[in-house]
Amino acid sequence: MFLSGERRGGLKLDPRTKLILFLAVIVGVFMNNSGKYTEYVFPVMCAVPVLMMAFSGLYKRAGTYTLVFIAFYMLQKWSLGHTSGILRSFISLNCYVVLRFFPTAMMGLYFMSTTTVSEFMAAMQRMRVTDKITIPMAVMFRFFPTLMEEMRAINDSMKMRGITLGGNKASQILEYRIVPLMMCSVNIGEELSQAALTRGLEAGFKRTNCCRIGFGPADYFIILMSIASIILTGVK
Amino acid sequence: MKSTEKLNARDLINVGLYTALYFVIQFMLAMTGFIPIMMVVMVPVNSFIGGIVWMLYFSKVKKFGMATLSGILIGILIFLMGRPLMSLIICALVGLIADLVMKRDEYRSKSSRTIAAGVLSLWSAGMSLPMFFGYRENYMASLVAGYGQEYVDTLSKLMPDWMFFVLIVAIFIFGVLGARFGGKLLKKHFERAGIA
Repeated sequence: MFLSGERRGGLKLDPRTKLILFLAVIVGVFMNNSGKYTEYVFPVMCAVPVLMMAFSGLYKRAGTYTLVFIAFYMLQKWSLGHTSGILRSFISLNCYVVLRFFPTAMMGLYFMSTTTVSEFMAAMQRMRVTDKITIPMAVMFRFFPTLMEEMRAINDSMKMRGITLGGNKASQILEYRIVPLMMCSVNIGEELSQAALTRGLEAGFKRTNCCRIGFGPADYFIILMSIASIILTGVK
Repeated sequence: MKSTEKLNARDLINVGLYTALYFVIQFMLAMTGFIPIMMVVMVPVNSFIGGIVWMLYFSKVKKFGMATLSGILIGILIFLMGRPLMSLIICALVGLIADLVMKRDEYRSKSSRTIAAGVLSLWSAGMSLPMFFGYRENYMASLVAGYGQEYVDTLSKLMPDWMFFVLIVAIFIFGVLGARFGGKLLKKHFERAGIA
């Protein structure tokens, strides 16, 4: 979820810098089988989220990420030598998915937990991205965790009524899970729109805000490194 | 309300909201794709359930551009998940076509919404694009490293190039079916409550 108040302490970067770094991580992690230097870029890019989290003071998350990543890496290496057949492809597949998606997911988490909605909107405005993309995007990222929470709650209550895959009312799963979820998102949507209206999002003026964004020395350094890594990934 | 009006904040919030809802549901379903055969089976299931959500979403759509924006947003999300840039373009195009379908009768009739839901579901063809055509060799090589040779062999056998077109047709049909089912659900639960 996006941060609601400004963070204090730790390294403060411009949201645009974080976006470029994000792009470098995506390129380095997902396109790592074609180029000459990609086998060196890949581990570095996997380490980037940890470093960034540690620099911004999110030590606990950085530690968890490292532990989980290493555990899955070991599991993958172990399964190649000790298992075979379906079990092996199952394990290695799961490891593959985790190892690929984890760095980008963590990078996304880092981005959202160090950026406020205001900063995000301001940065997008500076990059001349239209509101038509920025507003839905901000809403979307704000909404993901809420939806997950609602889903879990619905899941629990349906379990109580016996509407589960193994239960005696399995055929009702579709209707009884999806309809409540849609219903509550309709309500949340209404509330969000009202809140936006009262804040004057519809007034037709350019949005102003008071958060400071801008490039410092650390930003320039990270941008240079990101661009270098993207270029390195592209070299055949 | 005329469909030529500009999008306001409420519309943009709706775009974000329903695209998020759609994406969360799709993501939950896609989690079961770990077993090779499921990856093929899940495509129609995904588009069926997706069709239900699109139906609810389209009942809120009254202006041109909202479906296109949803397409672009989905494209950005799957680009973040490591799909080629071409997938993003397909997503945007599919959204545009869905918009055009609904625009024909000014976003009023249910039948055009149903078809548009089928069209917008086609974004997942863009999602599976790397498994076909020129992307294939590269993608398969990357899979061998992680998923293991057996998985890739099974997948290759299941997915020759012509499957892509079968996939498109299947996605569309199941998307439309899902939308029809969704229309019934809407009538039962939402229209009576005065929500949709």
